[in-house]
Amino acid sequence: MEAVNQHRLPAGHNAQVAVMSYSCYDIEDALIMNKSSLDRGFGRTAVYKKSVTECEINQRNKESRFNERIDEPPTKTHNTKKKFIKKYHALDSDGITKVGAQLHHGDIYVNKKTPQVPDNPQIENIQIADTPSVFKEKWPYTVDRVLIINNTNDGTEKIKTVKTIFRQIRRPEFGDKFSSRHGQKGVVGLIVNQEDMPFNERGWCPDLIMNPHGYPSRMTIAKLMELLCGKLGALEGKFKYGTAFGGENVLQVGEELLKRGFHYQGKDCLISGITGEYMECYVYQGPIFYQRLKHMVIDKIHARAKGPMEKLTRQPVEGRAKDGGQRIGEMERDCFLAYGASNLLIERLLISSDPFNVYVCEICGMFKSDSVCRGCNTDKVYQIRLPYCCKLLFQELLAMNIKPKLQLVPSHERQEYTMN
Amino acid sequence: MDIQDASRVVYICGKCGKDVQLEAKDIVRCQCGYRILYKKRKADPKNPPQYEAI
Repeated sequence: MEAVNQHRLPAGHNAQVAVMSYSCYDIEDALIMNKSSLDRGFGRTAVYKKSVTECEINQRNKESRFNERIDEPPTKTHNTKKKFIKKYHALDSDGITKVGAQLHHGDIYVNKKTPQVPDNPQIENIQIADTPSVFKEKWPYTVDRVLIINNTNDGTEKIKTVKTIFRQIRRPEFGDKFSSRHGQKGVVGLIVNQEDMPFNERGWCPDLIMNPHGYPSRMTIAKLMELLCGKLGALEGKFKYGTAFGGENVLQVGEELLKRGFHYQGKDCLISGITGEYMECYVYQGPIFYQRLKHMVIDKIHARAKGPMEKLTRQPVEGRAKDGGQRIGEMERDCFLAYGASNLLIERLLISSDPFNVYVCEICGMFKSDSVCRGCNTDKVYQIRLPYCCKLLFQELLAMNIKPKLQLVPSHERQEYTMN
Repeated sequence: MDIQDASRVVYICGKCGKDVQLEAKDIVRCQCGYRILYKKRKADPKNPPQYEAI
C-alpha cells in the first residue's frame, strides 16, 4: 500500500457495504448497487482507446507523389450530400480530428488518401483512393489527445503517423464487474433506488449489497477484517490495517467499536427500505474498498438478426467484431432434441442458417443443375431444400470418389418412412 | 510563433511546449528539433465544451 502510494491515490472507492441478501438478484456473487451512489459518482470511470494511423511510402513506387497523405476534408458545395459531409464534421483543415470533438459511429477522424500507382508510371493523372480512419465504436467517444509524429529517421520524408486517443466516461450498469481486493469479484445484478435500500437509525445507507454466501467457501477473512477495521478507522479518522496477517487485533477493534456505540462484531440493526420495518437480523456492514474491473457490458453486448455470412459454408459468421450470430452448438441442439422441438431445430439449423435449394434426380440421387437428368434420361428431378453446408459435404465426398446417394421420399409418405 | 494564422492548425511541441504552426506540406517538426507534436485544443464557438449528465 505505502510502497506504491495506493492509500493516497486509490483506483477505487470505499464502498459502504451491507452483507445481506436482497431481492434474489444478488445470487452467485452478483452485487446490488445504490442508484443514488451511482449518481454521486460511485464507480464512474474514464475508458481510453488508442488508434494509430500511419501514412506509408508506396512499396511499388517510392516517388513521393505516391506516398499516402492526409488531406483536408471536402468542402461543402451545392451538390454534395449532407450525409456525405457529415462524416467529416470533426476534422480540422489538416485532415485530423479536433481535440475535444465527439465522434459517433461512422465518423472520419483521419482523412487519409492513398494514391494508386498506375501501370505506366509516366501518367500524370493518378487516381487517389480514400482510405480514411473511420470511427467503429458504436457509442460516442470524445477525442482526448492527438499526436502527430514524424517517424522517418532523416526527417526529409513527409511521412506522418497520427495517434488518436479517445475517451469515454462510463457509469456502472447491469453486468459491469466490480471487485474488492480479496478476489471477491462480482457483477452488478440490480440497481436499486436509494429509498428501497436498507438504512439504519443514523441515516446510513449502503452503496452496495453483497451476498453473504460469498464468504464461507472462499474463507476471505481479510475482507471481514477490512470491513470491521474500516468501520473503526472511519469513526476514528485513522488508517487501519485490515490484513489477516498481523493487522489489527479484531477483539480490540470490536471493543473500540463498542465504546463508540456500535455492535462489537460490526453488525448493525437495519430498517428495510421496502417495508419500513426493522429487519429480523443484524447486518454486518461497513466500508470495503471496491475497484471497477475492465469487463464492461457495453464492450460485450451483441445481437444480430440478418448479417454477414461465411463465404464457404454460407452460415453466419462468428464473433462480435464481425457482427456474427449466436451459435446453436451441440449441447444446445441436444436440448432441442431432448425436448422434441423438431420444428424449432429445423428452423435454427436450416432456415435461419444456410437454406439452399437443389435439384435431385430420383433415380441416380445426384444433384442436378436443372429439372432434367440427362444421365438417367428422366425428368423425375425434384427440388429439395437442405443446408448449403450439407450440399458442400456431398460435393466434397464426390470429389473423393464417394457417392452419397440421396433417396427421395414423397412428402406424404415421409411419416411412414421415418416410423420404419 | 505567437502570431497565429486562423486558417492553419496549431500544435504543441512535446519537448519545449511552444506552439507550432504547420501547413500540410511541412515536415512534422518543432523548431527545437523534436518530432512529436500534440494538437492544440481550440475553442469551438459552435460546439462549446460542456459536462455530460451521465
